[in-house]
Amino acid sequence: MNGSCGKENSLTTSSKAKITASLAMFIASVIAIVLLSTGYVDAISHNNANEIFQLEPLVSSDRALSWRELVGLVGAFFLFLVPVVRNFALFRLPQRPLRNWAVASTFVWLALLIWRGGILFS
Amino acid sequence: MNRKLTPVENLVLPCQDEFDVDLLMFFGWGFLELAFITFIGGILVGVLGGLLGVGGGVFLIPFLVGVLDVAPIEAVGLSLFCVVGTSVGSAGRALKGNDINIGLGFVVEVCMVSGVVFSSIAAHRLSSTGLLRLFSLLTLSLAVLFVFRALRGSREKNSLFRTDSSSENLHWLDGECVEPSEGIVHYRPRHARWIGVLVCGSGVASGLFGIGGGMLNVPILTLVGGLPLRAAAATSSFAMALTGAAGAMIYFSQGTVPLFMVVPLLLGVIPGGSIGMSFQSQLPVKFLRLLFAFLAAVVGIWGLVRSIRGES
Repeated sequence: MNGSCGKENSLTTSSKAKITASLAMFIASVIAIVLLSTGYVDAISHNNANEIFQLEPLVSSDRALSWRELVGLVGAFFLFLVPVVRNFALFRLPQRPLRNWAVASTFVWLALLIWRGGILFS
Repeated sequence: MNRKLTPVENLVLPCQDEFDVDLLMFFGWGFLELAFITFIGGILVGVLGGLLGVGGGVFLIPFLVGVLDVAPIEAVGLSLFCVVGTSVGSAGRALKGNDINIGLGFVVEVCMVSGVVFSSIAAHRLSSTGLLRLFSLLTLSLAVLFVFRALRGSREKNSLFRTDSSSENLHWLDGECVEPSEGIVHYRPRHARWIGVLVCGSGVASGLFGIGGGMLNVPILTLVGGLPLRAAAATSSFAMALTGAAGAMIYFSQGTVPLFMVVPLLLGVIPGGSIGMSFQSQLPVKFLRLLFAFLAAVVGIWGLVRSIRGES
């Protein structure tokens, strides 16, 4: 930005970091959709949506997961990754407080993942 | 599953049956029809979410429960996945411009997730019916306030705490917005600490009821922080990526998210959010305020009805 002081105000201008963050969010969500679609195609083919992708079997350990369910799990994980990849891109913002908040946000996400992942796989 | 019911489930599960694909077949719907309807619903939800800075759960849950007969607990989980999608569409687009106040967005999302976590831990000790009633009355009050402000005329210009763009001491919370008569204006949010505290409460409401994130955050950012409505909506969209992902993780780990419905929903909400955000910059603020007030009123009435149902 052409600030009148001659110093770039990188807080508010359309910086490279912000564009990268936008792109990273989009890519993570596209990967999630592609992986989740794998199981969805199976649901259309076999009309068995109640049997796959409900994840209750995983929680209650009734049966082993099929490979499609595993792909679905990874797909959901990529959707959860959206805020993290955004934060990684924003680590390049010039102001230290902003970078610190990006780190804090990532740690909050990580703590939640460990907490809920622990419940899921315990 | 052997687990305690959350307040959301206590409120809504007695009213609804479990999601049953046979029911879809009863209506003559196959998966492709279901996918198409979900996709269309996702686009509408995404557009509204992008316009107003809300995640879309407030629109999506009634749609899923009322139209597609999804069990409410599954609808809440799905709506949280949808919130992430809306954020990808709307915040992804807004990041290319200057509307998002990134510093404030980080503060909002971290504080709000704290509220979500607190609510999920303390959920069984809280009186959900009373809280839902309080939330509904608060939302209705905000609707009246937004109508009042829209009819009275814009006071954003006066409430904006302007900073000098030539200052060497730019604060990390500073943002910029476009004023019609002045072009780009630099501002600093007011009462940042209070915003942090209040969005914690917003997170509690979001965790308990699956709604309330953007619907409370946008008024907090405009009324307490003095942000312009467009900046508040964009900042709220930015923050929803983390809060939506956090809520989705919680419901996902309980196994109550029908993942096969996530795909058409995401295919709808991501472009929808982007379209909504691009329209937002072209619509007058007065219209956006009235639209927000209308939707807040609908949510408030819906919450009141739910709380009354929960008692009966």
